Amino acid sequence: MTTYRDIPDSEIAVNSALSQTTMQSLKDNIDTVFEGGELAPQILPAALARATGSGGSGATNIILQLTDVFSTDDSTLMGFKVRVQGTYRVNLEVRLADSPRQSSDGALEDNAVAAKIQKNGVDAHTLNHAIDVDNANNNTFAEITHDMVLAVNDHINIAVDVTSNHGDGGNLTLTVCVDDDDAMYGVNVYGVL
Amino acid sequence: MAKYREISESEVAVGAPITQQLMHALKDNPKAIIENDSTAPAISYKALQSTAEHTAGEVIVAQAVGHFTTDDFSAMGISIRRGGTYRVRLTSRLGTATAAGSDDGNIRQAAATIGFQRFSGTNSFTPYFLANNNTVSRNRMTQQIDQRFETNDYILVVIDETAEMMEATVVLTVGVSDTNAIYGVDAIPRIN
Repeated sequence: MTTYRDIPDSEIAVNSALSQTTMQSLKDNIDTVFEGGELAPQILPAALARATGSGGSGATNIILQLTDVFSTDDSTLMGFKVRVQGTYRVNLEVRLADSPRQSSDGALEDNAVAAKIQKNGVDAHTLNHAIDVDNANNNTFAEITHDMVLAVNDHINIAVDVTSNHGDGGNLTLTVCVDDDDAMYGVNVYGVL
Repeated sequence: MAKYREISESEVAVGAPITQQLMHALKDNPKAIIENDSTAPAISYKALQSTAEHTAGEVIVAQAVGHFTTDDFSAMGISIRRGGTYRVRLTSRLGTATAAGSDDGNIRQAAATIGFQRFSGTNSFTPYFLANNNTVSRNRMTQQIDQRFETNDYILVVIDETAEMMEATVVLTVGVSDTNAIYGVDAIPRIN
Protein backbone atom coordinates (compact mmCIF):
# COMPACT_ATOMS: atom_id res chain seq x y z
CA MET A 1 0.00 0.00 0.00
CA THR A 2 1.26 3.47 -0.87
CA THR A 3 1.71 6.16 1.78
CA TYR A 4 -0.18 9.42 1.83
CA ARG A 5 1.85 12.61 2.27
CA ASP A 6 0.26 16.02 2.57
CA ILE A 7 1.80 18.25 -0.12
CA PRO A 8 2.44 21.73 1.31
CA ASP A 9 1.50 24.70 -0.88
CA SER A 10 5.14 25.80 -0.89
CA GLU A 11 6.05 22.77 -3.00
CA ILE A 12 3.79 23.91 -5.80
CA ALA A 13 4.28 27.67 -5.42
CA VAL A 14 5.36 29.83 -8.35
CA ASN A 15 9.05 29.27 -9.13
CA SER A 16 9.37 26.44 -6.64
CA ALA A 17 11.42 23.50 -7.85
CA LEU A 18 9.50 20.44 -8.93
CA SER A 19 11.12 17.78 -6.78
CA GLN A 20 11.07 14.00 -6.97
CA THR A 21 9.34 14.03 -3.58
CA THR A 22 6.47 16.09 -4.94
CA MET A 23 6.11 13.90 -8.00
CA GLN A 24 6.11 10.77 -5.83
CA SER A 25 3.32 12.20 -3.69
CA LEU A 26 1.29 13.31 -6.69
CA LYS A 27 1.45 9.75 -7.94
CA ASP A 28 0.93 7.92 -4.64
CA ASN A 29 -1.65 10.12 -2.92
CA ILE A 30 -4.34 9.28 -5.45
CA ASP A 31 -4.16 5.55 -4.81
CA THR A 32 -3.67 6.03 -1.09
CA VAL A 33 -6.89 8.01 -0.67
CA PHE A 34 -8.96 5.32 -2.35
CA GLU A 35 -7.15 2.50 -0.57
CA GLY A 36 -7.93 4.12 2.75
CA GLY A 37 -4.28 4.60 3.70
CA GLU A 38 -3.58 5.39 7.31
CA LEU A 39 -2.81 9.09 6.84
CA ALA A 40 -5.11 9.73 3.89
CA PRO A 41 -8.19 11.92 4.28
CA GLN A 42 -11.51 10.09 4.67
CA ILE A 43 -14.01 10.08 1.83
CA LEU A 44 -17.00 11.77 3.41
CA PRO A 45 -20.65 10.72 2.90
CA ALA A 46 -21.36 13.98 1.10
CA ALA A 47 -18.86 12.98 -1.59
CA LEU A 48 -20.87 9.80 -2.20
CA ALA A 49 -24.28 11.46 -2.23
CA ARG A 50 -24.14 14.31 -4.70
CA ALA A 51 -27.70 13.68 -5.84
CA THR A 52 -30.57 14.77 -3.65
CA GLY A 53 -33.04 12.20 -2.41
CA SER A 54 -36.14 11.69 -4.54
CA GLY A 55 -39.35 9.96 -3.48
CA GLY A 56 -42.40 9.08 -5.57
CA SER A 57 -43.78 5.79 -6.79
CA GLY A 58 -40.45 4.88 -8.36
CA ALA A 59 -38.63 5.23 -5.08
CA THR A 60 -38.05 1.53 -4.53
CA ASN A 61 -34.40 1.53 -3.53
CA ILE A 62 -34.06 1.03 0.21
CA ILE A 63 -31.33 3.20 1.68
CA LEU A 64 -32.13 2.53 5.33
CA GLN A 65 -34.25 0.03 7.24
CA LEU A 66 -34.57 -0.22 11.00
CA THR A 67 -36.62 -2.47 13.25
CA ASP A 68 -37.80 -1.97 16.81
CA VAL A 69 -40.30 -3.49 19.20
CA PHE A 70 -42.78 -1.89 21.57
CA SER A 71 -45.18 -2.86 24.33
CA THR A 72 -46.03 0.47 25.98
CA ASP A 73 -46.14 4.12 25.04
CA ASP A 74 -42.72 5.09 23.81
CA SER A 75 -41.51 8.32 22.21
CA THR A 76 -37.89 7.31 21.90
CA LEU A 77 -37.93 4.47 19.43
CA MET A 78 -35.81 4.27 16.31
CA GLY A 79 -35.31 7.09 13.85
CA PHE A 80 -33.01 8.63 11.31
CA LYS A 81 -31.33 11.91 10.45
CA VAL A 82 -30.80 13.47 7.04
CA ARG A 83 -27.41 14.20 5.47
CA VAL A 84 -28.68 15.27 2.03
CA GLN A 85 -31.84 17.28 1.50
CA GLY A 86 -34.54 15.89 -0.74
CA THR A 87 -37.79 13.96 -0.91
CA TYR A 88 -37.68 10.56 0.73
CA ARG A 89 -40.28 7.81 0.66
CA VAL A 90 -40.82 6.79 4.29
CA ASN A 91 -42.64 3.56 5.06
CA LEU A 92 -43.72 2.42 8.50
CA GLU A 93 -44.95 -1.12 9.06
CA VAL A 94 -46.63 -2.34 12.22
CA ARG A 95 -47.24 -5.92 13.19
CA LEU A 96 -49.39 -6.19 16.29
CA ALA A 97 -49.08 -9.13 18.61
CA ASP A 98 -52.01 -11.23 19.72
CA SER A 99 -52.85 -10.17 23.26
CA PRO A 100 -53.89 -13.11 25.40
CA ARG A 101 -56.14 -12.38 28.33
CA GLN A 102 -54.53 -13.23 31.62
CA SER A 103 -57.03 -15.98 32.32
CA SER A 104 -57.44 -19.63 31.62
CA ASP A 105 -59.95 -19.38 28.82
CA GLY A 106 -57.36 -18.48 26.25
CA ALA A 107 -59.37 -15.57 24.91
CA LEU A 108 -57.69 -12.69 23.19
CA GLU A 109 -58.07 -9.02 23.98
CA ASP A 110 -57.98 -6.01 21.71
CA ASN A 111 -54.62 -4.62 20.79
CA ALA A 112 -54.36 -1.15 19.34
CA VAL A 113 -51.67 1.39 18.64
CA ALA A 114 -51.15 4.82 17.15
CA ALA A 115 -47.72 4.71 15.53
CA LYS A 116 -46.44 8.16 14.66
CA ILE A 117 -43.83 9.39 12.25
CA GLN A 118 -42.49 12.51 13.92
CA LYS A 119 -40.44 15.15 12.16
CA ASN A 120 -38.20 17.12 14.50
CA GLY A 121 -40.38 16.14 17.43
CA VAL A 122 -43.72 17.03 15.81
CA ASP A 123 -46.27 14.46 14.64
CA ALA A 124 -46.22 14.33 10.84
CA HIS A 125 -48.13 11.12 10.04
CA THR A 126 -50.00 8.63 12.19
CA LEU A 127 -50.80 4.98 11.59
CA ASN A 128 -53.77 3.87 13.68
CA HIS A 129 -54.03 0.13 13.79
CA ALA A 130 -55.93 -2.28 15.98
CA ILE A 131 -56.82 -5.90 16.47
CA ASP A 132 -60.51 -5.81 17.32
CA VAL A 133 -61.41 -9.27 18.58
CA ASP A 134 -65.16 -8.48 18.86
CA ASN A 135 -65.30 -7.70 15.17
CA ALA A 136 -63.05 -10.54 14.18
CA ASN A 137 -60.55 -8.08 12.84
CA ASN A 138 -57.40 -10.01 13.38
CA ASN A 139 -55.33 -8.47 10.68
CA THR A 140 -52.11 -7.95 12.56
CA PHE A 141 -50.27 -6.04 9.83
CA ALA A 142 -50.64 -2.46 8.61
CA GLU A 143 -48.44 0.14 6.96
CA ILE A 144 -48.31 3.73 5.79
CA THR A 145 -46.09 5.32 3.15
CA HIS A 146 -45.42 9.01 2.74
CA ASP A 147 -43.09 11.08 0.58
CA MET A 148 -41.46 13.52 2.97
CA VAL A 149 -39.50 16.63 2.01
CA LEU A 150 -36.55 16.70 4.37
CA ALA A 151 -33.71 19.11 4.99
CA VAL A 152 -30.21 18.46 6.25
CA ASN A 153 -30.22 17.43 9.92
CA ASP A 154 -33.97 16.85 10.01
CA HIS A 155 -34.72 14.13 12.54
CA ILE A 156 -37.43 11.57 11.83
CA ASN A 157 -38.46 9.65 14.93
CA ILE A 158 -41.01 6.93 15.55
CA ALA A 159 -43.25 7.17 18.60
CA VAL A 160 -46.08 4.88 19.67
CA ASP A 161 -49.16 5.33 21.81
CA VAL A 162 -50.65 2.03 22.86
CA THR A 163 -54.35 2.85 22.70
CA SER A 164 -55.77 -0.36 24.14
CA ASN A 165 -55.67 -1.16 27.82
CA HIS A 166 -54.92 -4.73 26.91
CA GLY A 167 -52.41 -3.99 24.19
CA ASP A 168 -49.47 -6.27 24.05
CA GLY A 169 -47.47 -4.26 21.58
CA GLY A 170 -45.73 -5.57 18.50
CA ASN A 171 -42.98 -4.92 15.99
CA LEU A 172 -42.18 -1.86 13.87
CA THR A 173 -40.12 -1.55 10.72
CA LEU A 174 -39.08 1.83 9.35
CA THR A 175 -37.88 1.97 5.74
CA VAL A 176 -36.50 4.88 3.71
CA CYS A 177 -36.39 4.73 -0.09
CA VAL A 178 -35.29 6.86 -3.06
CA ASP A 179 -35.48 6.34 -6.81
CA ASP A 180 -31.76 6.87 -7.49
CA ASP A 181 -30.29 3.57 -8.69
CA ASP A 182 -26.85 4.76 -7.60
CA ALA A 183 -27.94 5.54 -4.04
CA MET A 184 -25.95 3.78 -1.33
CA TYR A 185 -27.32 2.35 1.88
CA GLY A 186 -26.86 4.63 4.87
CA VAL A 187 -25.29 7.55 3.00
CA ASN A 188 -28.02 10.14 2.40
CA VAL A 189 -29.62 9.32 5.75
CA TYR A 190 -28.32 7.55 8.84
CA GLY A 191 -30.09 5.76 11.64
CA VAL A 192 -29.97 7.08 15.19
CA LEU A 193 -30.42 5.28 18.46
CA MET B 1 -14.80 8.17 -19.28
CA ALA B 2 -11.24 8.62 -18.06
CA LYS B 3 -8.88 5.66 -18.38
CA TYR B 4 -6.67 4.56 -15.52
CA ARG B 5 -2.95 4.05 -16.21
CA GLU B 6 -0.52 2.69 -13.65
CA ILE B 7 2.31 5.20 -13.20
CA SER B 8 5.65 3.45 -12.87
CA GLU B 9 8.22 4.39 -10.24
CA SER B 10 10.70 5.27 -13.00
CA GLU B 11 8.38 8.01 -14.22
CA VAL B 12 8.70 9.85 -10.91
CA ALA B 13 12.35 9.01 -10.23
CA VAL B 14 15.02 11.69 -9.74
CA GLY B 15 15.94 13.17 -13.09
CA ALA B 16 13.00 11.62 -14.92
CA PRO B 17 11.40 13.96 -17.48
CA ILE B 18 7.92 15.37 -16.95
CA THR B 19 6.13 13.84 -19.90
CA GLN B 20 2.73 14.54 -21.38
CA GLN B 21 1.76 10.92 -20.64
CA LEU B 22 2.68 11.34 -16.98
CA MET B 23 0.70 14.55 -16.56
CA HIS B 24 -2.23 12.95 -18.35
CA ALA B 25 -2.23 9.99 -15.97
CA LEU B 26 -1.99 12.30 -12.93
CA LYS B 27 -4.99 14.18 -14.29
CA ASP B 28 -7.11 11.18 -15.29
CA ASN B 29 -6.40 8.55 -12.65
CA PRO B 30 -8.50 10.05 -9.81
CA LYS B 31 -11.47 10.39 -12.13
CA ALA B 32 -10.96 6.89 -13.53
CA ILE B 33 -11.02 5.41 -10.03
CA ILE B 34 -14.19 7.26 -9.10
CA GLU B 35 -15.86 6.27 -12.38
CA ASN B 36 -14.93 2.60 -11.89
CA ASP B 37 -12.73 2.20 -14.96
CA SER B 38 -12.16 -1.52 -15.42
CA THR B 39 -8.40 -1.30 -14.87
CA ALA B 40 -8.56 1.08 -11.91
CA PRO B 41 -8.19 -0.19 -8.35
CA ALA B 42 -11.44 -0.54 -6.40
CA ILE B 43 -12.21 1.96 -3.68
CA SER B 44 -11.65 0.20 -0.37
CA TYR B 45 -14.17 0.42 2.46
CA LYS B 46 -11.22 1.73 4.47
CA ALA B 47 -11.40 4.95 2.47
CA LEU B 48 -14.81 5.53 4.08
CA GLN B 49 -13.64 4.94 7.62
CA SER B 50 -13.43 7.81 10.03
CA THR B 51 -9.96 9.17 10.56
CA ALA B 52 -10.09 8.85 14.35
CA GLU B 53 -10.95 5.77 16.38
CA HIS B 54 -14.64 5.54 17.15
CA THR B 55 -16.27 6.57 20.39
CA ALA B 56 -19.75 5.36 21.32
CA GLY B 57 -22.73 7.39 20.17
CA GLU B 58 -26.13 7.48 18.53
CA VAL B 59 -25.21 7.06 14.85
CA ILE B 60 -26.26 3.55 13.85
CA VAL B 61 -23.60 1.70 11.86
CA ALA B 62 -25.03 -1.82 11.99
CA GLN B 63 -28.22 -3.57 13.04
CA ALA B 64 -29.15 -7.24 13.08
CA VAL B 65 -32.73 -8.42 13.61
CA GLY B 66 -33.92 -11.94 14.28
CA HIS B 67 -37.01 -13.91 15.29
CA PHE B 68 -36.54 -16.97 17.45
CA THR B 69 -38.57 -19.84 18.80
CA THR B 70 -35.91 -21.88 20.56
CA ASP B 71 -32.40 -21.78 22.03
CA ASP B 72 -29.85 -20.20 19.78
CA PHE B 73 -26.32 -19.21 20.72
CA SER B 74 -24.92 -18.11 17.40
CA ALA B 75 -27.74 -17.08 15.12
CA MET B 76 -26.79 -13.54 14.25
CA GLY B 77 -24.60 -10.72 15.35
CA ILE B 78 -22.32 -7.92 14.25
CA SER B 79 -18.70 -8.01 13.08
CA ILE B 80 -16.36 -5.19 14.02
CA ARG B 81 -13.95 -4.18 11.27
CA ARG B 82 -12.19 -1.49 13.22
CA GLY B 83 -11.29 -1.25 16.86
CA GLY B 84 -12.93 1.42 18.98
CA THR B 85 -15.72 2.00 21.44
CA TYR B 86 -19.23 1.26 20.23
CA ARG B 87 -22.64 1.69 21.82
CA VAL B 88 -24.35 -1.69 21.82
CA ARG B 89 -28.12 -1.73 22.26
CA LEU B 90 -30.03 -4.96 22.69
CA THR B 91 -33.81 -4.88 22.49
CA SER B 92 -36.24 -7.74 22.76
CA ARG B 93 -39.86 -8.60 23.15
CA LEU B 94 -41.46 -11.99 23.61
CA GLY B 95 -44.52 -12.86 21.59
CA THR B 96 -47.58 -14.81 22.53
CA ALA B 97 -46.95 -18.24 23.92
CA THR B 98 -49.58 -20.91 23.49
CA ALA B 99 -49.19 -23.95 25.65
CA ALA B 100 -47.91 -26.98 23.84
CA GLY B 101 -50.11 -30.07 23.93
CA SER B 102 -53.07 -28.16 25.23
CA ASP B 103 -56.37 -27.73 23.46
CA ASP B 104 -57.79 -25.20 25.87
CA GLY B 105 -55.93 -22.32 24.32
CA ASN B 106 -54.37 -21.41 27.61
CA ILE B 107 -51.39 -19.16 27.58
CA ARG B 108 -48.31 -20.33 29.37
CA GLN B 109 -45.54 -18.16 30.69
CA ALA B 110 -42.87 -18.31 28.03
CA ALA B 111 -39.48 -17.09 29.07
CA ALA B 112 -35.93 -16.68 27.85
CA THR B 113 -32.69 -15.04 28.76
CA ILE B 114 -31.31 -13.00 25.90
CA GLY B 115 -27.95 -11.36 25.58
CA PHE B 116 -24.89 -11.03 23.41
CA GLN B 117 -21.43 -12.51 23.61
CA ARG B 118 -18.18 -10.96 22.45
CA PHE B 119 -15.58 -12.98 20.59
CA SER B 120 -12.04 -11.70 20.06
CA GLY B 121 -9.58 -13.92 18.24
CA THR B 122 -9.67 -17.25 20.05
CA ASN B 123 -11.14 -15.67 23.17
CA SER B 124 -14.81 -15.56 24.08
CA PHE B 125 -16.08 -13.36 26.85
CA THR B 126 -18.84 -13.83 29.39
CA PRO B 127 -22.17 -13.04 27.73
CA TYR B 128 -23.85 -9.78 28.60
CA PHE B 129 -27.48 -10.52 29.34
CA LEU B 130 -30.43 -8.24 28.93
CA ALA B 131 -31.84 -7.06 32.25
CA ASN B 132 -28.94 -8.55 34.14
CA ASN B 133 -29.88 -12.09 33.36
CA ASN B 134 -33.49 -11.66 34.34
CA THR B 135 -36.12 -13.40 32.32
CA VAL B 136 -37.34 -11.27 29.46
CA SER B 137 -41.04 -10.69 29.18
CA ARG B 138 -43.70 -9.73 26.69
CA ASN B 139 -42.84 -6.16 27.53
CA ARG B 140 -40.23 -4.46 25.42
CA MET B 141 -36.90 -4.66 27.17
CA THR B 142 -33.87 -2.73 26.09
CA GLN B 143 -30.45 -2.03 27.48
CA GLN B 144 -27.29 -0.55 26.11
CA ILE B 145 -23.66 -0.45 27.08
CA ASP B 146 -20.60 1.28 25.65
CA GLN B 147 -18.12 -1.43 24.87
CA ARG B 148 -14.61 -1.37 23.45
CA PHE B 149 -13.92 -3.80 20.62
CA GLU B 150 -10.77 -4.70 18.75
CA THR B 151 -10.49 -5.06 14.99
CA ASN B 152 -12.10 -8.32 13.81
CA ASP B 153 -14.00 -8.86 17.06
CA TYR B 154 -17.58 -9.97 16.65
CA ILE B 155 -20.62 -10.25 18.86
CA LEU B 156 -23.37 -12.84 18.66
CA VAL B 157 -26.85 -12.83 20.10
CA VAL B 158 -27.41 -15.63 22.61
CA ILE B 159 -30.88 -16.89 23.49
CA ASP B 160 -31.61 -19.41 26.17
CA GLU B 161 -35.22 -20.51 26.24
CA THR B 162 -36.15 -21.12 29.85
CA ALA B 163 -39.86 -21.85 29.45
CA GLU B 164 -41.71 -23.06 26.39
CA MET B 165 -43.06 -21.90 23.98
CA MET B 166 -40.89 -18.91 23.46
CA GLU B 167 -41.31 -16.58 20.52
CA ALA B 168 -38.91 -13.66 20.56
CA THR B 169 -37.93 -10.74 18.40
CA VAL B 170 -34.41 -9.50 19.04
CA VAL B 171 -32.78 -6.33 17.71
CA LEU B 172 -29.04 -5.81 18.10
CA THR B 173 -27.74 -2.37 17.14
CA VAL B 174 -24.36 -0.65 17.40
CA GLY B 175 -23.74 3.09 17.22
CA VAL B 176 -20.87 5.56 17.19
CA SER B 177 -20.56 9.30 17.72
CA ASP B 178 -19.16 10.23 14.30
CA THR B 179 -21.98 11.73 12.21
CA ASN B 180 -19.96 10.94 9.09
CA ALA B 181 -19.92 7.24 9.91
CA ILE B 182 -21.55 5.11 7.20
CA TYR B 183 -23.64 2.04 7.87
CA GLY B 184 -21.78 -1.18 7.22
CA VAL B 185 -18.26 0.26 6.99
CA ASP B 186 -16.73 -0.22 10.43
CA ALA B 187 -19.30 -2.75 11.60
CA ILE B 188 -21.39 -5.17 9.57
CA PRO B 189 -24.36 -7.35 10.51
CA ARG B 190 -23.67 -11.07 10.20
CA ILE B 191 -25.44 -14.38 10.24
CA ASN B 192 -23.85 -17.62 11.33
